[in-house]
Amino acid sequence: MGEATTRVMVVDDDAVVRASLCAYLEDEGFGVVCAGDAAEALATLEREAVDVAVVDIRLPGMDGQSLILHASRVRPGTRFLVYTGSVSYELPDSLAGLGMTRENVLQKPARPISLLAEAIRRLAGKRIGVE
Amino acid sequence: MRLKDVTIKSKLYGMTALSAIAMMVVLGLSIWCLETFRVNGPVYRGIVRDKDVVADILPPPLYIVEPYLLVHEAEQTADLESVRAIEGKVAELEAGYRRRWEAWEAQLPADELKALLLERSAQPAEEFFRVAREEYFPARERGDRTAAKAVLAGKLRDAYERHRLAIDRTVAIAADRARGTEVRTAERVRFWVRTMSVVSVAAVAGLTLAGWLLTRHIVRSADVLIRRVDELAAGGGDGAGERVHIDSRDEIGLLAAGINATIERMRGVIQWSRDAEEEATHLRHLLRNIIDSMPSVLVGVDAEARVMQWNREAERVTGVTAAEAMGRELHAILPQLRPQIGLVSAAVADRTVQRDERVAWDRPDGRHISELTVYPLITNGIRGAVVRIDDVTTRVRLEEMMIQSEKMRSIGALAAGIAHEINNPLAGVLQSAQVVLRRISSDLPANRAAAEECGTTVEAVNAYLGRRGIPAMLEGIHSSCERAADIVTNMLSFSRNSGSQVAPHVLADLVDQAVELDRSDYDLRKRQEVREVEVVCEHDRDLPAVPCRASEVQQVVLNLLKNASQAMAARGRRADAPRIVVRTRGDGNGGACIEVEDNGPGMPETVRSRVFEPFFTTKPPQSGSGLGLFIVYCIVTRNHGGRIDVESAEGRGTRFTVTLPLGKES
Repeated sequence: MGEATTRVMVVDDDAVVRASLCAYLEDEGFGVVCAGDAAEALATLEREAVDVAVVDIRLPGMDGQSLILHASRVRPGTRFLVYTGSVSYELPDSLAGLGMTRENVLQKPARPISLLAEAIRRLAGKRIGVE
Repeated sequence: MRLKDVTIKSKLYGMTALSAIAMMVVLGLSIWCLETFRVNGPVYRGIVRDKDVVADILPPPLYIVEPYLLVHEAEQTADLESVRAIEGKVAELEAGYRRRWEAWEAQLPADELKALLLERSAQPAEEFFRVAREEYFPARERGDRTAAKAVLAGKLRDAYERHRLAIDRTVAIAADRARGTEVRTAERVRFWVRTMSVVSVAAVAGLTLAGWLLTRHIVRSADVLIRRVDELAAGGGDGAGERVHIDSRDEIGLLAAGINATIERMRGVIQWSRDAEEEATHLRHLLRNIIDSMPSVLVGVDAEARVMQWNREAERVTGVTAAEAMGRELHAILPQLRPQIGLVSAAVADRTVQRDERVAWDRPDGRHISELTVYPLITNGIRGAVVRIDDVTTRVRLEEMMIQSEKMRSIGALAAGIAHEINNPLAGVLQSAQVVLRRISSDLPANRAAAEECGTTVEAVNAYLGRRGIPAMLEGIHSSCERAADIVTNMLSFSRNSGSQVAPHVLADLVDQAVELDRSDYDLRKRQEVREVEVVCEHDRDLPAVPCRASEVQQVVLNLLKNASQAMAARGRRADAPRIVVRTRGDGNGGACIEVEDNGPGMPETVRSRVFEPFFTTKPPQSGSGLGLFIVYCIVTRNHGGRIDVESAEGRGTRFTVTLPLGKES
């Protein structure tokens, strides 16, 4: 595994969602780190790089969108998957400017849950930006 | 001064005076003639006198033949006594002669005849009587007969002869004169008779002519006046008529002038009254127009609610003409207003405006809501009121719609908020359940490693869990969460970006496709509760393409069709076949409409007002989510900036009308 392992960070303030999601992704073979809010997520990114960050939009303190904007500056190679419970979420222009599309958004709860793993693998396989 | 300018009064007085004068002339002449020629009148007496002279003279005593003969008798006798007797007789005759002479002297006018008779004949007579008395009879007394005889043959005879000559002449003259007088008198009488006849005839003719002319003038003028006055009285012609043309200054002229002045004044009055009438008519028409132009039903009623005024809108709305409505009681014409009729008496009694803002009024084209206002008439002592009826159906519907839309917006916001809140815990449960399921399966190497560390096997754990029914419960958790997630997804499916873009679409095509989908869905599921329903499409092919999201509009039509065909189940037994009409048309106001109309059971107002609310359903719990019309509502109003209206009549059916803007999507 090692080199081939895709690194995923899950950012969600809901502990049950975060824990179950991490467990699922670990079971799927991803290298997973968790964060309860944006500050924790940014601190993690300072320490280590991840391939894909799964970000809830509604977060205490800094919201998911701002987190993505910050994170893309801290770790420009990171890809993001918005995973939100909001039913009417539309990608703001700022995120679209990062090259994000509808493929970067997943409605919570993902049904079936395998959609999540598929989306992460798809994003991880993409080459975006320049190192 | 012309004759026609002399007044009739003067003419009549003149005529009367002329008549009197003529009468007097004729009368005077007559009296004078009668007086002149009457018996014992002057002419008569002249003639008689002349004749009397003759008659009086020829016999004695004025003619002295008798004394002359007596003297001759005395001559014949010798007896003295006889002579003396004769002398006495002669003396008597002389006295008689004297008396006659005096009588004629008094009677006769002093003319030739008088001179002849009383002088030329009287002189010899006097001579005779003196000679006889002084010479003859004394000679006889003396007995001197010779002397006596000589006296007789001489002096006496001479005197007698002269006397006789004078008398003869007198008689001749008198006879001539009497004859001449008679002839002249007859001539005079003829002359005067002629004169009087001529004068009388002339007077009568003149007066008659003058009278006739005067009468004709008066009558003709009066006729002209009477004709004009008759025309005026009859109001013939143009009422005021022509002026009377009488060119004189008498009473008729004055009368004509007076009539002309009256005509002038009447013309003025008539013109004034025409002007006034015209103005009144104009004003009446204006008021009528104003009242008729009002979009409200305006009815004037008296205190007993009898109709006095009925405007065009009232005619249009009720189908009752003003002529039919006049004088009838308002609630007899509009029985639906019977409960409100008390407002009229209240308005009249209290002089206050009365109002009923919601009067239901079932008309052939459906139920209308009217606002009824009663204004008391408080001017000029009129007791009554004006009833104004405004059709506020549209306004009320609009208000309802606004309330509805407000309600739906808050419900929508609430639902979205709840969905967000639910989705997180749902994700937690669902993900956890799935993770649990995966972690008890034998597929994952980590599971085996963990089981080994615990001194057991995955298989043993699974056998235990299977015994206790755990996997089934986990499946239960999973499927329950799936259902919950389905509900949330459905509820908010309209707001999820469906991916289809707003583009111009022909509504008729979208509708046809939706109807086809509905049909295959029906064939597939063979819904038992729904009887065979005929679906008819009526399309306005001229309708331009409408900017919309095709899939959403199709979902709208599908949901409405589903709703309609499910409603048919409660339709009951009816003569007409169940039928749904789907119609596309312009709304005439920059919008396009899709109508879905059924002839189902319809719905009461309580249902109609809540029909778009989420989870509001009248169907049995299993047959529907109660979200179909809510989704329709949200797609139409929120996603397309359109409008949806629902009209329903119980027992007749329901019609949903979706109106989408033809212009740029809002």
